[in-house]
Amino acid sequence: MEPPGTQDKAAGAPGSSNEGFATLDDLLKHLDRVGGDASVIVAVKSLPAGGLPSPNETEQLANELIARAEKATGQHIARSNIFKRLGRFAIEAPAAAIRFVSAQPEVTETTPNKLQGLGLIEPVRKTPAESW
Amino acid sequence: MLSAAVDTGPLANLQLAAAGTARVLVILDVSAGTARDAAKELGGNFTAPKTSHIAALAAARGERKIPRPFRVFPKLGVILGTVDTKGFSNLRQKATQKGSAVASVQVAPVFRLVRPVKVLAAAVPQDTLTWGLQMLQVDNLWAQGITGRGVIVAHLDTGADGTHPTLQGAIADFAQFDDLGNLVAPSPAPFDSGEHGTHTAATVAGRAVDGKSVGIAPEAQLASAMVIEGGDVQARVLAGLEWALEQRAKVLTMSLGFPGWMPSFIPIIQVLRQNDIVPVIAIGNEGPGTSRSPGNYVESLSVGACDENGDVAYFSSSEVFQRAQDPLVPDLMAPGVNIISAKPGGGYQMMDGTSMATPHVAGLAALLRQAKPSATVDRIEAAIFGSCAAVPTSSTNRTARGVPNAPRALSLIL
Repeated sequence: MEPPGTQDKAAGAPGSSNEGFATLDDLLKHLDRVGGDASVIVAVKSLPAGGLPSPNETEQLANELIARAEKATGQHIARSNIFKRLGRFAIEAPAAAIRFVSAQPEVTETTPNKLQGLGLIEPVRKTPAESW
Repeated sequence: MLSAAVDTGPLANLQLAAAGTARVLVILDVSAGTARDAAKELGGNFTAPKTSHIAALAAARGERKIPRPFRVFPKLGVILGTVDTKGFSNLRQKATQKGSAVASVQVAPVFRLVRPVKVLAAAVPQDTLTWGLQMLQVDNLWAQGITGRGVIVAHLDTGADGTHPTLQGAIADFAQFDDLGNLVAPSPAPFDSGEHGTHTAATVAGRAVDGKSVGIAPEAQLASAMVIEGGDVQARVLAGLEWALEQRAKVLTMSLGFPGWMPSFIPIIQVLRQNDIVPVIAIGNEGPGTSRSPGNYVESLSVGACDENGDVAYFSSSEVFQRAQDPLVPDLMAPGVNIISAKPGGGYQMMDGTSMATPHVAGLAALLRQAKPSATVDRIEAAIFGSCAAVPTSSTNRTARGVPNAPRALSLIL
């Protein structure tokens, strides 16, 4: 399923193969070159104590950060999803909005949604078992 | 000496009134002499039963068998016999006399089989098991009724073919997510975007088909999420993990990962454990000196692959980390070479990989979950670890604790 609007897999762009991006910097450099939106995963923490926020806190933090980024950059973040129980949320946004969000004090980590290397552990061998 | 807790005299009187005789148990005071001596002394009080199933059987064979009036059980200190009214009265009187060999007289209990409330056909015919099931000896637990019933295992993979005969009835819920991890609604019928997920799903919870079993926990239920098709994006995996929490899964089986060390998922695996989910994760297929995250976290129960001889598979990842706790990964090995399991669309195929080993351990965790629902994640993990048999022919750095054993794990958790 190809995500609408995303530039993650723009044909021919360096670092944009099916293997995704190794780091956020790689993804942002790519967006600076080709423009458009890309999706990232944002991990948040409770302030001031740190640690994984509660589900309600995560939801509140995600919504606040999206609103803050839209206001600061003037760019609309059309798509998002909050993983309340995991202290994370996903956004699809232009480079400026991603940079803004990742610099916020509540954010512990921002990684490309399409992360290079993450994948199925493929079997090393497959053979028919027709006699079974 | 047995003691009489209840006076069964009135019941004996009823039997005597109805049939003229009663079966009684005479409890002897063995301190007054040996049981056999006492029996000789008391024998005159017993009478041959008018009816006896032994005599009836003998008569049916054309033989004549005279039923014995009594029988002595010296080690138990009791006499089982038939009495008429007079004999019963005599024995009861002796029981009241000081220094008598008779401690008490009771109506002989009639033992009956404790019948099961419900009899069902065996859930899993055990004619043919894959070698992996045999190595773990899971049929020993099945014979005790431990089949994973009532346990939900979260299965995050390429999906699973719910129409495959071995998976029919095994998939309690199925989910698919878009590239940002939003649930696709309505949920489609369970299907596989590849082949991997059907294979791993059936190894966890495949039902027996034609007497052949591929599933470790054949009555467990799967909450199967398609998280890895169409581009390997984090959001789908995160969505699957969050969905697993909502499904009240007790075990996670996940045969995917990020090559090397990527700590981002550590808090997530911690959340799973806090929510009572045993996170069973493949370590990777890149051989010695390698591993994948999140399998290589301290918090994960990581699984490598072994062959039918219990030797570590050449491809099975293993790595030693510079950390105090759990420096060696994987935690253990499980069957991962020539593993027969389900193929989408029907039929079966063999696959090799730590992806195949992982659902064996997840299935075992599901069995233990059923056996001891109150057990914590730590306890389940400790029982599985404690059940492992080391492999003497290979380096510990490759084999870790060795291969788990279901009966031993069960004994450690109960």
